[in-house]
This record gives sequence, structure tokens and C-alpha cells, in this order.
Amino acid sequence: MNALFTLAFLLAMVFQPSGAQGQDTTKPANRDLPIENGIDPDSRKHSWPSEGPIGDQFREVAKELRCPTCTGLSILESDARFSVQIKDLVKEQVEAGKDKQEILKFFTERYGPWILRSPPKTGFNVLAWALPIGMMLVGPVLIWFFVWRKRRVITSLGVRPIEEIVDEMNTRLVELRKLVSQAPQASDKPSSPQGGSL
Amino acid sequence: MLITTSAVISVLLLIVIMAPFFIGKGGMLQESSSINSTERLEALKQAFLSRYLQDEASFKQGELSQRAWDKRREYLTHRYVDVARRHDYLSRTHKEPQT
Repeated sequence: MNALFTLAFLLAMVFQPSGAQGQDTTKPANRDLPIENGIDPDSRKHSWPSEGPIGDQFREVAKELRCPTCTGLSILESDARFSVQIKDLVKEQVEAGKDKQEILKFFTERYGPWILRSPPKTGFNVLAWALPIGMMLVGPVLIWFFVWRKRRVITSLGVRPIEEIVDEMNTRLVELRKLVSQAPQASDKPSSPQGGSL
Repeated sequence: MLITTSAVISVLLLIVIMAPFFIGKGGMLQESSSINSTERLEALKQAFLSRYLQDEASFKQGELSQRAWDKRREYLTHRYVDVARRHDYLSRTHKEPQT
């Protein structure tokens, strides 16, 4: 068994993909990407409202919008070029006096519901909210029901409950112990009267 | 070449891992639902009891740790229950197909 594992390991080392051999891990994998890696170098020149009701509304809207080029980040947390552009648009609209729903609607119409970080609670998207909660509530009941039904079917086929079988096992063990203690002490280990040793 | 080698190694490993369930001594690891003979099931029950007493004796002599004995006892009890349930099913439904 050890030899087999060693062989598998050696083969995996020999036949590893050529791209993995001699790779310089100190350099970025994709050298074609610019150093900034999508981050707008001019992002520090932009300024967004941070104080007062306008700043609050800006942050509230910006954290609801997805950064298209990042993974799991809102545009508020991202300095990617696209996020910076969207933040500029949000800033304009907040300063123009639009409320949160209007701004989100503007972006949804432009980019689709995908731009929102959480799916809208309307139409088919309601399922995304209702299903997990529903499964949490209904799941345990369903599991209990299926286990109960299986037990009922098994019992109807004449199979005893586990407790009865364990009782039977214990009774037989007591009898076997008696037999072993009465038998001549030919061996230290008890043996099966029917020769059913494993 | 790499795919072929990987496939061959995977199949070999699978065979090595699964083999005890089919050719293990006394069918100890064989799934009870695949056994269709009440005599064989009864022999297996007896074998589990015998093994239980052997391990119990080993534990009392200090050859097995408490943890190992607990695990062994739990395993043997589960296997006994598994085999007994199959035995019940076969004997009460009067089905005795050939193994």
C-alpha cells in the first residue's frame, strides 16, 4: 500500500503540468495586467461626500451597488476604475436630490438587477429570500417525516426496533459469557460455540 | 499520457480501498443488505458476539485502551443491529433466495 502511494506521488511529480514547473512565484502570474491591476490611478483625485446627510446617503447607496470588476465588493469599498465612475454618478445623483430608491432604479435600468448586491425582493427574486428561510423552517419537519415514515415501513415488514435487537444482543452475550466461563480453560480468548469467529 | 496514468492509479486505489468490503475475512465489512441467507446472517451475528467477547477480554487484560474498546463495542453493536434487521426482514417475509 505504501509502495502504491509512493508510486502515485512520484508519477504526480513527474507528470505535473508543464506550466507548474519552474514557475517564478515572485512575479505576478499575469504579466500583461498593468501594475495598478484595474485600479484607477486617479482615484485619489476624486472626492466623494463623506459628511452630513448627503454623505450618509452616498454611502448607503454606494454599498448597495456591486463593483463589476471585483469579487464580492461594493463600489464603496473599491477603487477600481469602473467603481470610481459609478461613484461619480452616485455622487451627482445624490447631490441632485434623488432618493436611494430612485438612484438604485437608475442603475438597475442601466445595468440590470445584477448591479445590486442583494437581489430585489420582487417577482422571481423573492425566491432567493424565501427559499433559504423556508427550507430552514420546513427542512427539519421534512427530515422528521421521512425518518418516521421509513421507521413505520420497516416495522410493518417485521423488523424489530433497535432497542429490542440490542436487548437480544446483551442477553446472548450474557449466555455466551456463562458458556465461556463453564468451558475448560483451554485458551485465554473466548471462542464462539458455533465456530463463527471472524 | 497523464490522464491515462491518473485513471489507472485511481482505479487501482479504488480497488485497494474497496476490496476489504467484498473479500474481507468472514464478510465482516460486507453490507448486510447484500446477504440473502438467514443461515449466513445468523452465523455473522454469532461471529460478532464472539468478537465482542474477545475484545472485551482484551480490554480487561489491558491490551485495548478505553477509547479503542468503546469504538470497537460501538462498531460491533451497530453491525449486529444491521445484520439482525436484515435477518428479521428475510425471516419474516419468508424470502430465502439463493446467495
